[in-house]
Amino acid sequence: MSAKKPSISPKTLLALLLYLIIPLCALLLILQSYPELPKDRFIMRIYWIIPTSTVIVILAQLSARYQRGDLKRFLLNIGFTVATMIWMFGLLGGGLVMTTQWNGYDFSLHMDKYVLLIATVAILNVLYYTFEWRVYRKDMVLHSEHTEKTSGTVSE
Amino acid sequence: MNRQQLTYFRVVALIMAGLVATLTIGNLFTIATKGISVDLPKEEDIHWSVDPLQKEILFRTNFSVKNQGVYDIRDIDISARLVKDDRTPLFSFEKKDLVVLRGSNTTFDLLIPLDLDKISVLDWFSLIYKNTTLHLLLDIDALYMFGLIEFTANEAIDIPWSQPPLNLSDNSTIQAGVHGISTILDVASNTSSATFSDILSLFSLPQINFTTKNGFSFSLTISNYSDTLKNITCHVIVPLLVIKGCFEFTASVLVGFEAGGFVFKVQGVGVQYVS
Repeated sequence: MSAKKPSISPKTLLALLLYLIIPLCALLLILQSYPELPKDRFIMRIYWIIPTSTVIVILAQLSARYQRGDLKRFLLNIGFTVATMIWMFGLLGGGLVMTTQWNGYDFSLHMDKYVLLIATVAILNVLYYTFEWRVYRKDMVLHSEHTEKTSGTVSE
Repeated sequence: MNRQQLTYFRVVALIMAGLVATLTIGNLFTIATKGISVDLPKEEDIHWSVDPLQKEILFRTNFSVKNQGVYDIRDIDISARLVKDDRTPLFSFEKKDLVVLRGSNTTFDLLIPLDLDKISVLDWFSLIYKNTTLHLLLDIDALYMFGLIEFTANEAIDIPWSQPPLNLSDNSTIQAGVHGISTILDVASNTSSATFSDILSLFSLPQINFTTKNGFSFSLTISNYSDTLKNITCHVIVPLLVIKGCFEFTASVLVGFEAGGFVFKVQGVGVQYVS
């Protein structure tokens, strides 16, 4: 007897938590706790986070519907990674340089190395999904061949 | 690659993703909410004094860094340049490798010496006798979060520079003399900007000898070099109030008209400290 698969996958729940609920709560908390900060920037981030994280959650849920080794799952996982990159890029302010004001003076935060790290992690994830697809695809082919053979023997 | 290796790969990728997410939420939000901030000095926070023994003008100011973040702020490099109103550099100053530890508020005192031997006499002269605005150009760089984030700030802070000679006397002749010195400095700094009115105003300067109670004095001695040329010698003594001693300045210029054109020629300029 096989266990019933949950309708919402753990990956989806984790994505919902990490990409939507926690950042949204953090941004709202900042807006409330630091009224002196420019609201526009944070509101823009909220407007960015809500749609992109919704896409991330949908992609996570859709990819979980397919088996490992399935091309659709692989493509959805790649889409998931790309969406997280877009999400992160928006959260950082949409560029490699973030400008902030301290005591009336402009300060710039150069995040090129940091963005490079994020890109590296994204590539690592893409590599993983690629390997996962290739390894499990072989298994799927072997399994389907085995099933065909078995069904052929039974029909004979 | 087998499934076991794939699992290890997955673990590494997850750890890396978690690390990046933690850094983003934990640190960028710290920066955004001013958990890390820098207070640069304002105009009124910059003080200066003359040190005759070291023959320098000492600019004093400070800036503070608040670091309530998770990591130390390292490799703080400060580069300061003092420039005149026309952007002529007077001096530059650098301080490197400062550190602000996490959870601390640190104030850095900046003592910026302007060595009088290293600037031109005309610059020194104009510092003492001209109302002007100096600009302190500050460049600050710092590294945070294992060097992944670099802070930079490039600011220009105006330092209004007013000198006492213009306020010493209400006498219009004295003020005309002081203005004459300013004109000499302006023209000497950039000869091409000499206009007919500049030369005419210098040509018509009166002879002045002015001394205040505290020992400050300046004199303009004017002699005819030829029918159309005058030799203006300016002699100024500035007493030092903190210790005994004074600065003596002497400048001699030839002003007038010759061969259908203006003449403005610096004959000699000197500055010395007399104890």
